[in-house]
Amino acid sequence: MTSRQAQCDINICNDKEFFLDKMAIIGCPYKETFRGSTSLAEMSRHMDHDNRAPGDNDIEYVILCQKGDTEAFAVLVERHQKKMLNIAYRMTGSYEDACDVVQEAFLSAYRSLKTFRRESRFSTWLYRIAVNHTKNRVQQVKARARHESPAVDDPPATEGGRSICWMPSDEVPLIEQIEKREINERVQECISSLDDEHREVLVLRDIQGFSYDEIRDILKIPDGTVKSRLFRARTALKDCLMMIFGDL
Amino acid sequence: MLCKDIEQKLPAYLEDDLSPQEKVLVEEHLTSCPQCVKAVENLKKTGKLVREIEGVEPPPWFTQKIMTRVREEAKQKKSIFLKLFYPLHIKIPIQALATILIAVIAFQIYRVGDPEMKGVVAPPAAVFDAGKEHAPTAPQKTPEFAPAPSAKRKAVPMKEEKKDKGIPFAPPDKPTEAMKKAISVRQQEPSKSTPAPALEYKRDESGYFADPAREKREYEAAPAAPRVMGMITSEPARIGVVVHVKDESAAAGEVEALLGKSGARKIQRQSLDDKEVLTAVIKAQNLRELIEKLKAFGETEEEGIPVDIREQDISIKIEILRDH
Repeated sequence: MTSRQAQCDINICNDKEFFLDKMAIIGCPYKETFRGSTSLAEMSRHMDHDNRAPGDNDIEYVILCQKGDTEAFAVLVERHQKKMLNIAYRMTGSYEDACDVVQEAFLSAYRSLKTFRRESRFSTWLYRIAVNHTKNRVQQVKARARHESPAVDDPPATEGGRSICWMPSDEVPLIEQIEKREINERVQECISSLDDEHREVLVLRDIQGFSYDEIRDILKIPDGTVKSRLFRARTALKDCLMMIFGDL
Repeated sequence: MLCKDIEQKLPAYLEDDLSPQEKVLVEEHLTSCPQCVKAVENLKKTGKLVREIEGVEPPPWFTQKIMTRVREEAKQKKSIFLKLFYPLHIKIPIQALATILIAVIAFQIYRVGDPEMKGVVAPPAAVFDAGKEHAPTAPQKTPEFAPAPSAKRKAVPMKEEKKDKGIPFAPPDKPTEAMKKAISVRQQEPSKSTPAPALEYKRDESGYFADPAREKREYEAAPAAPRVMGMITSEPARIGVVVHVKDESAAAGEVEALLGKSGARKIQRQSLDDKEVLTAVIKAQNLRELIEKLKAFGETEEEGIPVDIREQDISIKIEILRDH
């Protein structure tokens, strides 16, 4: 089996034989059970029955990685990089820092993949690593800022230090696009001004749309704490935006 | 309730996360407070702004960049694995480790296998030094005592003994030349070494040595040798042999003669009403031969025969019983 085949997403690749072959590779004891199943959905139910974190469609690639297939990790990177990057970007406010953090987080996840015990979904475990790396980076940046005063020849601050090119789209009028971009920058400034613990909850809930349960698992804090932090974060963000825009 | 308190509850109110009582309180307040109504509106707008914030796209080739680092990591992991198990890389450390291990094991075997040698190691040095020290001062004047050669002679066999004791698994029934020599010297030892303290003491009185410190050393060093020898020769291994014969007194006579032929010493015979008991001290190398010969007399039972006979002198007790 080529690595191209191995990378084929099981959800996209709706081929039962391919699925069974993959099961054989990863040494799945349920191969014969699956052989009698009529559909992928049925097979998936069998898988769910065995896993402690049901519905984790990353798990087969995780198992492949744990067995030493490095290329299977590419699928996991492809799936989760955007969400991780956005979490890191909204928390650090810097695109470069976010890219670094995501790379570090993936590398760290790869190193400790053997210790992943499937007690939670792989994505939850991965985002927890990303959030922890991001928090560390934020602390480092803060510490550095305290010790170094900004130099005169520093490049002018862009949107949270973001230096990627902004490509205007043709679909929306340019003036609206500029306005929207301006508003986004202000919102990001306000998000960056929040306390670390308020910011992470707000980013995970209001920007990334995680459920309370997922946030509780990622941050490992109780439900009540998630909510109280979120409500305080929303109030603080509203106050910050009102200071900038006046009336919203 | 103040607007400030109400404002704190507004996010929870919007999420419908308040208790019914709190919810009624907030709703009542909102009907009469335009400022708080405005705050609710602003909160809703804030939520909208945040939700509408554009996501960023990963830079081009981001997956490839990450995977390059992951592959490097995997390669590194493999190379660590190879380093540990590939023979060429590990050869020198393994050899070093093996050498240390062998040295440690050899030292342990030496220590455990030869407990009586521990007592011998320290004293010979004192004996040897003492002998050497006064040798140049009084060899002509006191040739009749010859304390130096005597001390030296004691030291030499012990050194030889130490050498062959160092071979822990020397076959006991085939003693080496050095071992035989050591045994023969030791057998002569008691008669020669016992008078040594007396001689030393006498010489002290006659005032051969002017230096009192040296005299004292001499006095202490000389009796050390017999004490050390005593440690080795004391407590010879005891074994018992029971022989069942028809005529115990005739057999006892023959066994006594046999013991004499085997070079046994201190042969004692004790006659009881239906058995004869013979005790003797016999050399280890003659023991097996003796037991073989005893079997010719009748049925024998042996007890206390060690598998590894190290002692040169073995105390043997032969009970000759009348076979009913």
